[in-house]
Amino acid sequence: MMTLYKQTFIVAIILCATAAWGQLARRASHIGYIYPGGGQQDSVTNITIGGQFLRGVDDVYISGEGVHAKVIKYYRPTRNIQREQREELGERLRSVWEARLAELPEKDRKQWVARREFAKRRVNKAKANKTTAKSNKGANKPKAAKNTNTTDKKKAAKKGFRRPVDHPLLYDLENHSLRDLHHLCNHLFFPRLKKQINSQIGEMALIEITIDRNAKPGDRELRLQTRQGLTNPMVFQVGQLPEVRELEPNEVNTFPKLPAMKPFDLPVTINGQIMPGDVDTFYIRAKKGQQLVMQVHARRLIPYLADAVPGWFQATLAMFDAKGKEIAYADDYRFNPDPVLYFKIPADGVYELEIRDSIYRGREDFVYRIEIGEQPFITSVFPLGGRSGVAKQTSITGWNLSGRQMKLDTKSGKNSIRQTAVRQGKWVTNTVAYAVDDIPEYFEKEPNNTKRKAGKIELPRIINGRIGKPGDVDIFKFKGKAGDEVVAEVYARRLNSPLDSMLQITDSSGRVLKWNDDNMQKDGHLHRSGGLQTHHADSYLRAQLPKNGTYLVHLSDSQHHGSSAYGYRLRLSSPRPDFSLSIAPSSINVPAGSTIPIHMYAMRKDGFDGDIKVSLKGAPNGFKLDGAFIQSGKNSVRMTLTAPQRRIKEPIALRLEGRATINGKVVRHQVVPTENMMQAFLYRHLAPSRELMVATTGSRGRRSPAELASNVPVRVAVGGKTRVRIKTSRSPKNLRLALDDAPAGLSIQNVRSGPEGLAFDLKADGNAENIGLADNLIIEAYVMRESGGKNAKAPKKKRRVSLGILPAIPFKIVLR
Amino acid sequence: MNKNTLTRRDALKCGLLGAAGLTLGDPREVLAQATPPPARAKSVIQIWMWGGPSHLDTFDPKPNAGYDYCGPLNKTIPTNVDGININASLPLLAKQADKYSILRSMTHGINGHETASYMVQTGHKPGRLVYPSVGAVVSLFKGYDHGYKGLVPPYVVMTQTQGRFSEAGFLGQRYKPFATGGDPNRQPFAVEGIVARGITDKRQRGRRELLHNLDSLGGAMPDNPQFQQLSKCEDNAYDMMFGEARKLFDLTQENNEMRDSYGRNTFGQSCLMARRLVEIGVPYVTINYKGWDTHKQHFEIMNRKLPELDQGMSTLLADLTDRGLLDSTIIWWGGEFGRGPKVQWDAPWNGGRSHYGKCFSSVVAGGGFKGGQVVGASSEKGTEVAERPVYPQDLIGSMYELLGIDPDGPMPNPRGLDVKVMPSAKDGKESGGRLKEIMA
Repeated sequence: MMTLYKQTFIVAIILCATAAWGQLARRASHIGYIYPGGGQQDSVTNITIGGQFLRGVDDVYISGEGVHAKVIKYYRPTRNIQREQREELGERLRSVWEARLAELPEKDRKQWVARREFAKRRVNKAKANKTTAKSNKGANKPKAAKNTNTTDKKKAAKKGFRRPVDHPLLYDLENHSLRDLHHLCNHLFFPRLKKQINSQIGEMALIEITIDRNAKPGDRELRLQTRQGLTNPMVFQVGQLPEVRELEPNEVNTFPKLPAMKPFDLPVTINGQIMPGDVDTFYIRAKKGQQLVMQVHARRLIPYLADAVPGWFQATLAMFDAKGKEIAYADDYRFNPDPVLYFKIPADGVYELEIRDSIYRGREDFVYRIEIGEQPFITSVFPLGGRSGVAKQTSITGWNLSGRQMKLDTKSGKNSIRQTAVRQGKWVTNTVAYAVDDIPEYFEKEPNNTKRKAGKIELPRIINGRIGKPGDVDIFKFKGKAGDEVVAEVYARRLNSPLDSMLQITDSSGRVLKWNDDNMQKDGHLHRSGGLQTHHADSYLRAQLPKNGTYLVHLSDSQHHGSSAYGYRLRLSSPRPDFSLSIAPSSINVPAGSTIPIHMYAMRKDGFDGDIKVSLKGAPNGFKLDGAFIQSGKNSVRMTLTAPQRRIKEPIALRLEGRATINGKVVRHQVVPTENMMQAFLYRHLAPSRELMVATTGSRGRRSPAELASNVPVRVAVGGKTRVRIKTSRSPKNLRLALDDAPAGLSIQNVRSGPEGLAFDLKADGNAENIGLADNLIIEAYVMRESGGKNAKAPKKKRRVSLGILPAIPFKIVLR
Repeated sequence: MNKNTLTRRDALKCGLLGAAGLTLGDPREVLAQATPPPARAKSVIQIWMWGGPSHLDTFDPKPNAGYDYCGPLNKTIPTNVDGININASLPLLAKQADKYSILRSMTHGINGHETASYMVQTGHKPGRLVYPSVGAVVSLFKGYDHGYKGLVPPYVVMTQTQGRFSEAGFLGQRYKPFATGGDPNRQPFAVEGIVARGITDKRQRGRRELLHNLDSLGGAMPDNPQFQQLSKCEDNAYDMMFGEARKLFDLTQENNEMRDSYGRNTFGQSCLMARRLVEIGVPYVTINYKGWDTHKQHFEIMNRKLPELDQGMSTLLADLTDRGLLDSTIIWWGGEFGRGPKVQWDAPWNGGRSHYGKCFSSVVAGGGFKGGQVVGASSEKGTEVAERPVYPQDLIGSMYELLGIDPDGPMPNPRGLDVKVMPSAKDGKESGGRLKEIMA
């Protein structure tokens, strides 16, 4: 039996023909790498950005102050270079080569000429071998008769259409050094294998970056603006050290006749890209007693690669002495894939550094930066945080540190997990994380490895402690009452501690009530929590106490490791229901007056299961959220953002706020912008961004204001249907509607459109399991248009023309 | 040298190992007690779509799902069976639909190659025991231990083993497939251990003679049973190199018209080779058809590969029918999973399809499977099973029944556990039931 509910929504839909929104999404501009991935303070440098759909790039947005950029040029993808192009480029390079040679003293010139002759001999030899092989092969086969005349004609015609090679490496060619020219030739002429087409990073833009002297060192976010709007953000680092770039060929013994590479003076940041099978080698000049920190930034620049396993550039860094003996090696730093080496130089001399991918993969987006110098580097912090509103100094340990204390910002009202770095003279340390909470703090006292010696605490407490040696177990006891609920939560890995915690709660007899190793919030392959961490090592448990008595909490390292670096903060308290929200993507492009769906994800904490409302904070007039509500029990929802009717010239940073009532109090949290990134073909992670940037793009045609009359969800009975009416200012008769990612059991029927508006039936199937389901309908409006070409006799083809997305319509499936 | 290739020396060693002993107890003792059910099928040709073929672009098209699901392959074609349409990219197979049944509701929910391959080819979820693939089980029940006398091993893979898991599982070396290597589309088809490039027959015979001259220990102990066994293995190996087996793998024995009809490509000629193998009674032949893991350039690859598949498989069906072999030969087409119904248009895929184990298609023909049937159905966009789920163990159990292997019978294993050949719903396993509706 069908039940008919009638509700009216007054919305206006976009009735101008635009490209299908799905198609827009498919052709969204995006960037895949920035090379080099950073620059030095007080410098001007050119960088290359690789991506797709970058045509029309005209501006660059970089987060924070003190870094400015302008677009120099856009480049189409450079495919494998054909013979005609090679010859044309060779001519261009030859004159520069000769000019550079002429500038050199006689002695140096001979070296380069010898190298060139050597290369020629190699090429000629290879050619000769190839020719011989071909002729031998051909000798056994009768040659097929060819219409040489036609072939030549085709070739000639083809030749005429070859575009001259254009590439960022050719920019400012006249001023290239001989080494630059070698690098260029190596990159463009001698790929090890035929280059695989990677369309996603095939296009390039050359950007000039100006970094102010006082620009704050650290990571920034860079986005390009193109015709389609803003690209995804990508890390661009502001560094303090002089910067150099790799120049190929730089593999040991590969080109013995090439004049030796000069060692770099320290400190320095080396920038490079690893191509398939590539091994980059550099030389540094170091003095006895220098305590060098060599820090690789690779995964930090591009945290996840969708089409690679493992899903990032897994760099290895090795150091060799003058005799070629390996004296240091790292392929990670603790749990972090980016290696960090600390090495005390035993004798004055030149040392060799080698970087590569651990399994010899490579591509343009395998970008790295190696910072080398006697830089201060913090390896551990203790305690890993402090109490909100209480001034706190924490001790730090590490390399090349002059001080042992660091001041923490414990002001209330900010995020509970914060980042900081310490300025030491002119240098700034690496960034470290710490936590701030409003619960009283407690410091563990060793020995506390046994039940008898367990630390006695009152709840609630934040316990600051360390798993000080392998096999160490920290035990704490507290008194509880029957029915009490207790939460134990470890903050360690999230604060860069290497601890891989294992947590259990027992009663006084040793009976285990609950235990936990890793804790993650995940839907299918999407990790809603964790961000850049793929191992959710911090433990979490909630336990209800069965009786009055003493209970013990045991904390250890699940891998039985331990040292003074294995710090933690352990929260022991009653549940504190709370939530956090993430939005994806963090670059939103929406045509003026149009609507676009966005994803909102909720991380629910300590059993919080209530509704969460989302709203815009301080947004310019005309921006509007619809369906901005995460129903109790749900962890994600798609809502819509509608842009103002008039295009805003510059992209703006939007802020969104989540609001929920918890235990009678209104709790608010700012929504964290994220990028939903895929790792290794399968897993997805919400990688945090610094800003939620929204660009309103231009639109063709007139758009009507969009407004929902009611926020009350459409109620549709299970097995029934509801007539939904939408008021529109213009609505073509042949308008059609399609549910995007239709919720289970729901369909749209009987669409009617005309001057009086738009109406459709929302039908729910009879599946009783769907009762109570509440979500948003994301509906695309479109028309089918005929296109037949100029030939009247040709059959007409129908094609789907999208008219845009309606503002999200909330619904709920009810019993009757 | 490729680690996967089998040298003549390896072939001899394998023969020796096989003859000298088994890796676990003796499965034959366990099997001797079982009474096999009557067999309808004698052989299986498995067309293994390595990487996972898209169900939407082959046997379960969804033309109304829109461009985001179908891409350019959005047309269907009616088959020679009323009511069954398949993707228009398979026009020749459409004319053979009366010979095969389409399973449109295959499911296991696994999206990783290794685990999915293991599940689809063994019918088991990964656990403490490493189960053998269907080919190895057929080799155990229908191979040398049960009257198979052929010189060609009972389980043949063209041209390379799958590499994702151990096909023999706990059954051990004796039941591993014989991987031919080489390329049947090249002349000669350099079958590993039989035809060696660059070594003439004369030179090979010379080598054998030299080996015998050097074998002073064997010469001094001619009555030693182990040496006699070794000698027998060697004779067998050389029979393969220079005898009938060599002719069998020589596709020039077929006329050009026949070879052309299968398609002059590796897959087409593999199908022809498979027909020749089942013709002489080889019980299990796998065509390891690579290239279906199409994360990128999916539709470009489909445009290239689907005509190849269409021609090879349709000719195989027709040829087996013409020769009266289809009734006794099961053809099993499918991969470890399907591909994501929704096309990944975004970067870096730019028009690719992901792994999809929730719902996919397989095809079976011959050997007691009815033709012209569709089992189960997928949802409107091919994202979920809508009707009659078919789990890998349902399909494999059905094939075993047709082959005369009791799926509920005992399966020898190294731990001596009470394990069945293919557990079913009765044993508490996930199951949609065996495919009785299409088993003649």
